[in-house]
Amino acid sequence: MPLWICELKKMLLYQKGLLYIGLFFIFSISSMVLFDKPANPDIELNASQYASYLNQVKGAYSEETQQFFANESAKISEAKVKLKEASDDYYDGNINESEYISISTPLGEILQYEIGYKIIYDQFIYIREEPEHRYFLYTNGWDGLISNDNLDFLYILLLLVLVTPVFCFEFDSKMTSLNLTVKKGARNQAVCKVGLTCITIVMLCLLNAGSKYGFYWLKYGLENGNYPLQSLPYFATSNKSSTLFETFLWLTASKIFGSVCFAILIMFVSVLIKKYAFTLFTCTTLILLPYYGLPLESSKYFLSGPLGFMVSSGYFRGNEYVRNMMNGQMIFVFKEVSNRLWLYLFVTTLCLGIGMFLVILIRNTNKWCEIAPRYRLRPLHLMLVISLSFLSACTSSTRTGERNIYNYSFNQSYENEYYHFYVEESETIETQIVFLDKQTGEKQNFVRDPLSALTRVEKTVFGNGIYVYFMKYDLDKSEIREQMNRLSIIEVNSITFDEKIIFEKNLNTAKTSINLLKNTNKDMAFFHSISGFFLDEENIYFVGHNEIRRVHQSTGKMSVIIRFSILRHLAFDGQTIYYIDEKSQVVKYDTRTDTEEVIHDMVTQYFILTYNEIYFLNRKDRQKIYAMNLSNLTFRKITDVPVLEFYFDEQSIIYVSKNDLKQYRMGWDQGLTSDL
Amino acid sequence: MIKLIVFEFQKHFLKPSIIVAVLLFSILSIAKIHSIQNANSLFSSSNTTPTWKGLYWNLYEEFGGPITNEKIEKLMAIYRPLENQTADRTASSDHNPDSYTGGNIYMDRNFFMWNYVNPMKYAYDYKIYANQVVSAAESNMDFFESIGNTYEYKKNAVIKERFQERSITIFSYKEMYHYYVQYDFSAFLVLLICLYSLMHVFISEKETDMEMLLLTTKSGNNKTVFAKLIASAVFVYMLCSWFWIVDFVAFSLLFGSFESASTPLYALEDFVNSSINVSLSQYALLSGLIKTFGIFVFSLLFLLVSCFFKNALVAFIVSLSFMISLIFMNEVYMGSGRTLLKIINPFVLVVNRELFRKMEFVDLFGYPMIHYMAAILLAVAWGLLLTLGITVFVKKNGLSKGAKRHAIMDL
Repeated sequence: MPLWICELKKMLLYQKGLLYIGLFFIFSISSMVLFDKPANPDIELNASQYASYLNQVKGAYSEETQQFFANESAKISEAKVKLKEASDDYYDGNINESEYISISTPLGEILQYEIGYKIIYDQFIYIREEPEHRYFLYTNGWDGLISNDNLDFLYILLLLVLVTPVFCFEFDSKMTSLNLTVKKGARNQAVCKVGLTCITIVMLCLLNAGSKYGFYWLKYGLENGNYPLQSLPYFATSNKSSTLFETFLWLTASKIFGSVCFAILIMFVSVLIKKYAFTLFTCTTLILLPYYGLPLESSKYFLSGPLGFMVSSGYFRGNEYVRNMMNGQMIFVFKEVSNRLWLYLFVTTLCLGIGMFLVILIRNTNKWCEIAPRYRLRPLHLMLVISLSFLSACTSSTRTGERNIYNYSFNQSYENEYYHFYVEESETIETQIVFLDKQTGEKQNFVRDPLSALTRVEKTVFGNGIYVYFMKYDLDKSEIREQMNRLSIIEVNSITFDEKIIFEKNLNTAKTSINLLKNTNKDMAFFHSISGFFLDEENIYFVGHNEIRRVHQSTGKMSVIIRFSILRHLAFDGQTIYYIDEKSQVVKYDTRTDTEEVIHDMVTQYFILTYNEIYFLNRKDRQKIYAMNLSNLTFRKITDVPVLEFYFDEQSIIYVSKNDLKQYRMGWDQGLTSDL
Repeated sequence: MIKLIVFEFQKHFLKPSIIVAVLLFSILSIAKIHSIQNANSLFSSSNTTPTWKGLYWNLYEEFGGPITNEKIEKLMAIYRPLENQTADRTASSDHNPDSYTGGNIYMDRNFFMWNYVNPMKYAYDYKIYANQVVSAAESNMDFFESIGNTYEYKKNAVIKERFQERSITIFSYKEMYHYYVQYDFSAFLVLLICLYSLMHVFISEKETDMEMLLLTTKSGNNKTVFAKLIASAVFVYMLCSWFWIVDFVAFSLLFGSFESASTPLYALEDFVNSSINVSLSQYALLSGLIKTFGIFVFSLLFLLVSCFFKNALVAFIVSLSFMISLIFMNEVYMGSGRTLLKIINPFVLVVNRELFRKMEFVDLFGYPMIHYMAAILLAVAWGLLLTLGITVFVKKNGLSKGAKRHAIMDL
């Protein structure tokens, strides 16, 4: 049997190399499939709106693009005004329905894409700074593929477990003295071992890069690979002139080089030390400590050695600064690696690699192929069981039962059988959520936690039967400036007043213990802008400035379900969300089937949902209050006077008349109208 | 027995490689502390001019020590004009040699705000805050009693007890502790050293095929296992003590102060809701002890993993993966309100500020247990479980009979 086949067999079969490689690919691909999050989630959440704009401006920046953005911006604001005018005309009876439809349909289409325009406009602002190097393109695919410097920890483990036994195995079985007597046992076998290892690593790297490329190509698509690198904000200040695809090739080449160097380093340490544990310890330390321990993100790229090449995207980045809040000066957060320095690093690392290779040859010892004792898989099975038990997830509990009606304009108050919860705002004391005992009339604080420092309770409550929910931000004061730490939604059982967290979102970008977890949540801006929330058994719905997002309580999967340009009013009855669109129509959104339906003839700026009716200010009848029955869709008039605003309680409707701006109270039977 | 322990200790831990690693890592840790000081301290050269430091310590003689109304008035007499002049940001930002810091008026304002006014205000207001907490807890106790929620009642009683009579009467320099309590890097280094040095404890005999021989000796079996565990514990304890002492001394020297030893822990703003009433120096000691215990639990995990393998290769890789996954899990749940998921992970003892900066409770059969106690108890349970695992699996290797023995020996 030729020597190299024997060595290959030993590495891949006897030492279970193939098994480890297989496991690595299974884990790495499944973790990509399960945990990959788009670099810019807004684009994915609004994919069709974004795509329609992108297709119009894709490519280099030009005068026309600038003109396009100016026009488009004008078009959108104009559409808003025109739609409003057309709606007013139509509801006032100045134009008929067919005219209205012919005017409003194209305008509605324009506004439908407004959010896409906002996203592309952000990109436009970025590109405008340096139009020669920055092109319009869909960034998520390329960002996922090349815009990170994360060390692939599984990959490091795989290299360690594959390469360490190449020489250590023979030292461990004490065959070193024997193989000196063998004809083929001298240097050529060491060369064969090192060569085979390097070829395996190269293949592995190529496969790994291929699988990543394939994944991002399938998931996002990797178009426009010929656009300049600077089109991605991650490489904004880079001075390298390279296209996206070239960069990917360079990164792969660097990774191959880095991995081969790392493999040679492992073999070098193993022939010097001849012990598994110390070899593994030394190599792990040499990779992990510079990666986690250096103060500046770019410092690791200034060191010769395999690490920089294994996470080589940093070689393509430019200088990045932030302002030091203490003295107002700009300080580096990332220092660019110049081409000359890169060459120097490459040459020194290569020399180190060759030097180590020579030492391996000099120190080499090898032996004739021998069947290694087979490890049984049992301990591994046990480990897997233990790790599974470590990772066992907790199940989520759901609340079923009677649904409460949620009206956005009442999101500061909620009433159930026993209590009335509301936000109390006054100038003297801090804003807080309080509740009133309906029997005793006693007022108490709703958030019972006595430790109020470092938390901020938001001014919104949601209730469902005995369960009442509020939202709070936890703060962190580990630096001079206060930082947001977490957003949580807390469920309070209003019988026992036990609290339970039902949703949590980490909002802290910087602080972790050893920084294994690089938090790069890009959807944080949304979580800072929440003005209300409501929930059903499975999902939480967050109301943001221009959208409603649905987040699954246990999986955390998020999607935008409703978009609007202005939030006027919305309501939720446990299954259906009612909201007002640009044309002042009320739209029903079914959360189970994800379908929308416009309620005909209901034109309003404000409504209140109850169990069986919608009360609204009828735009078609001079803002008088009307009620629509939800089951048979019939309308009835409630007031004969135009109304500015209204609300109601158990006994009566309270409204402000437009005629004299006075407040009136009207009983439900519509008999008693009294001046307040 | 002691002889055996000493022997095992010498055999496994008094190795040049370990000593070199400890020394190198100590230097690394000091370098890391230096970089933290340099990046964050208000007196570091990268943030401010050297005059800040001089000015601070000059004023410290006047304003440090017990907080009195006189001092506050005097301080505000300096600060108020600065604040008024800079309020609308129209004051000149030109260099002014007559200013306190030798920079401009904005720098003066920042100097007083960050160094004296804000910390002193926090200290002064803390008593009021603590009283608010106590009265809120008292009203909660009445409330929960009235609705019959005994768990919450007991919880608030504990909070009331812990916050009673809290106040900060002394103004002192706390910047060093501020960053010291956030420092974890040395724990990572210690874990790496433990991972390496403990790998050999059970494997070395397997590697040299002395395992069988050992079983035939008088003090083989349980005695040896016991001696190995004790020796490992002593090693972990010594290693941790060394690193924590190096950390503390390095922090104190680099920040240039041994002040604040007797200041209460809640004087740090991030620990405003702290669950324990100890001073900063006591906390440093307590935190060190708990960290050591956390690392010992990890060490037991490494030892248990090493029992299953005949050489260090896979054992090391598996242990390293466990370590990284536990650290990762901890980082996911750091700051989370899901207390149980947070404290079930023994790594929470290593970054134990998470246990002391907030007052959280775990429901133990209707009794509210403060979460640091629960975390320690859980870690003790983990420790016992792992020790049990070690004794069971090591024993089996030597004592099982027939085919079964072969199966495991072949590992």
